[in-house]
Amino acid sequence: MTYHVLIGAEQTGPFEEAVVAAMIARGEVTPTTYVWTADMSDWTVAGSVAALSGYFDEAAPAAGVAAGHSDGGVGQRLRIWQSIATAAKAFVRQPGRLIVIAVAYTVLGLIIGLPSLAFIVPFILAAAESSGDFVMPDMGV
Amino acid sequence: MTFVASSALHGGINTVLLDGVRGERMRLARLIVRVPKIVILTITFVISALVACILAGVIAVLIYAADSGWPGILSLPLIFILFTLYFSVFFVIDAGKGPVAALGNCVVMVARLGWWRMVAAFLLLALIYIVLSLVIGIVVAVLAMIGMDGMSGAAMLGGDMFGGMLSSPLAIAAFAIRMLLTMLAFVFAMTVCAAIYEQGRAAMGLEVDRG
Repeated sequence: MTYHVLIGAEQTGPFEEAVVAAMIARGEVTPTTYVWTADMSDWTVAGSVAALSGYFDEAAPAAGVAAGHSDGGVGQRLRIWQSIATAAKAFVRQPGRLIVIAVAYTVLGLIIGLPSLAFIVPFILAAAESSGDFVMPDMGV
Repeated sequence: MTFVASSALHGGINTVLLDGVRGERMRLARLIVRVPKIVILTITFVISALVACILAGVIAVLIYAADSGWPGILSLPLIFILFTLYFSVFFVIDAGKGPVAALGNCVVMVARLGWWRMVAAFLLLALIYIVLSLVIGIVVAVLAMIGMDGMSGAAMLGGDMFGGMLSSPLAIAAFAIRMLLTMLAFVFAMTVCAAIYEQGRAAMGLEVDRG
């Protein structure tokens, strides 16, 4: 689920829920900020969106600190585990699609990469052999 | 030509992965990237490659000058910089940036998200990929022990690499499974990169380019 957020007169996003939660924690999104997702017929205040309302309770003590919008705020820093969890969620939600993507990546990568390898590998092998550290094995082919 | 094809491939795959990270449906039609974006991506890749070559040259000189016993360690910053510059793909396909702006945004993103956190993410991703590859290797080794010996080291060391690999339908299946699982691990790492970009975009207040 992604959200568009109305900050001032400017429409921003789409942002995933975790990002909106971080914006709430920084005080950039308040209960009266308008948000919109594909499921909504019109813009709605964030405080009345069930999925987001819980974040305002958690953010209340920190909002005052973040009001200065300093770039060095903790909320702006990379959350590594959150990134991994988001990627894992994408995998769990649509595993079939990701398998298709992996297959497509493998096949297309081989098609693209093989001509380059065919061009580069003989040079590498020749250089290695001339250095005396490497002897071409009998591949039996 | 390889640069152009590779740009189109990575642009398309990262577009779809970004949709997945945002909780949207991953449509395979999105794998096809528009020609103007392919051109921008190709130029970006070429500039990245040039930067990498210059840095590799500097590192080679440092290694030569230092005559160190640990020359390999000097290549780690280069790999990290390449990891950082990889995010330029997202800035081109998603934020509609040009080549120079996209590469500049990579630096800004690292500064905003915290460079040491990015280093940690890079090391963690590498670790996850290595562990997953090891697990896949163990699975394939077990398969080899129970009869799918096409991927076994013995077959390769015996000078029958290709013959051994394709010796039976089961061996071919083992090879295909190994390739698929390894690529899935790689695609997972790319998906984490997409999630990192999403955080970086939010931190920088960048809009998605709908054009």
